[in-house]
Amino acid sequence: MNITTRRHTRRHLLLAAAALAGLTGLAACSDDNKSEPATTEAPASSEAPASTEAPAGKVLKVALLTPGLTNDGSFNQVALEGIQKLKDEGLVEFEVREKLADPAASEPVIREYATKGYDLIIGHGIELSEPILKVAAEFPEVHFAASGGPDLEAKLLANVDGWTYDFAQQGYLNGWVAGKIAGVTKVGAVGGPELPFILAAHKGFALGLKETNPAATIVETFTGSFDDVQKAVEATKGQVAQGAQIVWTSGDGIGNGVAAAAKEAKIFTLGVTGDAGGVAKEVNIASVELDMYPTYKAYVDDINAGTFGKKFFVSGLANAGLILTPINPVDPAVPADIQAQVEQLVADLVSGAKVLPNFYA
Amino acid sequence: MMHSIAVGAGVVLLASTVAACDNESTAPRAVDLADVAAGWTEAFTVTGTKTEPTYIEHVTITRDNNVFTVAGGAMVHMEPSIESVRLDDDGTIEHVVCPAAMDCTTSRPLTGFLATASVLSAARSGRLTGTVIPQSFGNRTVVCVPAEQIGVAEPVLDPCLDIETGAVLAQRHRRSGMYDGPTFDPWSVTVSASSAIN
Repeated sequence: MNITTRRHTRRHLLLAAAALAGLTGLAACSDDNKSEPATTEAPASSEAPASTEAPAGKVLKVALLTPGLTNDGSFNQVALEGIQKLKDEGLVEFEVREKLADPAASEPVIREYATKGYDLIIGHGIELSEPILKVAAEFPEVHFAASGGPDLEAKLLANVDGWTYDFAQQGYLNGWVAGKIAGVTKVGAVGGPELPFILAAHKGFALGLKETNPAATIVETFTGSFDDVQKAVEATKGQVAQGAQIVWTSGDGIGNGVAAAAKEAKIFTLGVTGDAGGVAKEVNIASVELDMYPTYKAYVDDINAGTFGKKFFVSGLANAGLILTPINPVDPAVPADIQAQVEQLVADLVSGAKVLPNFYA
Repeated sequence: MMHSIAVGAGVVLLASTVAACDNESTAPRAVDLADVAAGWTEAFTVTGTKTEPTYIEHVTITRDNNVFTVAGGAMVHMEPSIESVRLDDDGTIEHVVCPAAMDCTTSRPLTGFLATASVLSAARSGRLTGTVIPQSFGNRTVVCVPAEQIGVAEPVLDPCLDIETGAVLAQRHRRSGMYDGPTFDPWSVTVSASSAIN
C-alpha cells in the first residue's frame, strides 16, 4: 500500500459545540458489494466484545471501513493515512475493509467486527452512517465512529462519535494564501455549480483574501457545471483577460480546465487537485486537503480515558483536520515562510484570538 | 489524484460491437466511430461515484431517447446540480434544464458527462468520422472520441463513451493520456440500458 506523506500537526480536536448549518458530510453510493480485507494488521478474534474502557497503554483494535479504495489518493486514502499514523505510534492495530458504500454489504461487516472484540469501528463516509448507528445500538460496549452531515449529531449514541468537516474553510485558507502573494491585486475565482456548499467556500475565499490583502479584488465566475472542463477553460481565460493574476478554483472536476488555461496564460493557480494531466505541478501553488489523524487520535484518547461517546467532531483549520498541502515552489512571489504564517493562523484559531464565521449563514 | 488509470493497461474486455480478434493477436482493433454511435441504445442509466480529495459525490447520467441528463456535483446528502438537454433529429442541442449560473443560450459544444449528446449530434449531421481503438475502463469498454469532432477547438480532455450505450464514463487527458477530470470511479460504475426517466 503506497501511502503518500502528509503533514500532520498534532492538535486535539475542538469539540463542536453546535452543528453548523450546511456543514458538509461525506458520502458514497455504489452497488459494488465486494469487500475484502485490504490490510490485515490485526488477526481475527472470537473474543467477546471489547470493554468500554480500554486500559491505558492498551493497543486498540480498530476496523476502518471505507466506501471506496484506500489507494485513491483522495477521500478514502486520508482515512487510511490517519489510522496508519496511529499504528506507527503504537496506539492501534487495524484492519481495513474497502468498497462498503452499500449498506446491505456494510452492515454484516460492521456486525462481524463488533462481535470479534474490536475496540473501535470507524465508518468513513456517509453511506456507512446508518449501518453504523444500527449495529452500534446492538453492541453498547463497542465504540463506533460515523461520518455524515450536520444532522448526524442528533443521532449519536452513547457509544458512537460523529464526524464531519467544514468545507467552506477550504475556500477561506486558499483566499488567505492568495492574499499573501506579493504583487497580487486581482484574483480570479472559478466555481462549478452554484450549490450552497460551493457558495459558502467562495464566501470563505473572499474573506480570507480580504484579511490578507484588503486592496485585492476578485473576479468570480461560476460555470454552472461540475463536469464541463471547457467551460472552466473559458471562464479562466475570461478572468485573465480582466486582469486576474492568479486563479483559485473551488474544485470538483473542472480544475483541469483552470490549470490548462492558467498554463497558457502563464499565471498560477490555487485549489487545483490531482495532477491535471501533469499541468498542476507547473502552475498550482497549493490546495487544501483533509487530515483524519487528529480525529482518529481523539477517538483513541477518549476511549483510553473512558470519555468516548456522543461527541461530534468538525474538521476544520483550527483542529488541523483541514490542512494546506505542501507549497509547490513555482511562484517566487509566494512568501518563503508561508507555511509558518499558516501555522500562526491556526494557532490564533486554536487560542481564540481569531474566530471564523459560519460561511453558510 | 483523480483516478488516473493507465490507458490500455490490463486486459481489454471486448464488447460485442468490437471486431473480433484474430488468432495471432489479442489487441483490439480499431472501430468506426459512426458505426459505434449507430449501435448505441436509446436509453441508459449510469450511476457511480467520483471521488474528490475531501468528499465523494454520486453521479447519475441518463438518456431517454433524445433527452440526456446529468445529476451530481454534490455530496450525496445534498441537492445535486442537474443539467438536461434535448437532441433534435437535425443534431441541434437545446437545454431542457439549465443549472443556475450556466449560460445555456450559447451554442458551444457540450463536454463532460453530457458529451453523448454532442457526439450523437455530430453523427446525425455527418461530422462523426474516423476510427478509434477501444479502451478498457473498469469492467467496461469505452471509445475515446477526439473532442475536435464535437466542436471543441482546443480540448483539454476527450470524452470516453461506453461502447455499448454511449454513456460518458470517463475523460482522457490530452497531455497525459490518462483518465482524468470528470471520470467515474471505475469500480463504482453501474450501467443499465434503460432510462430512469418515464
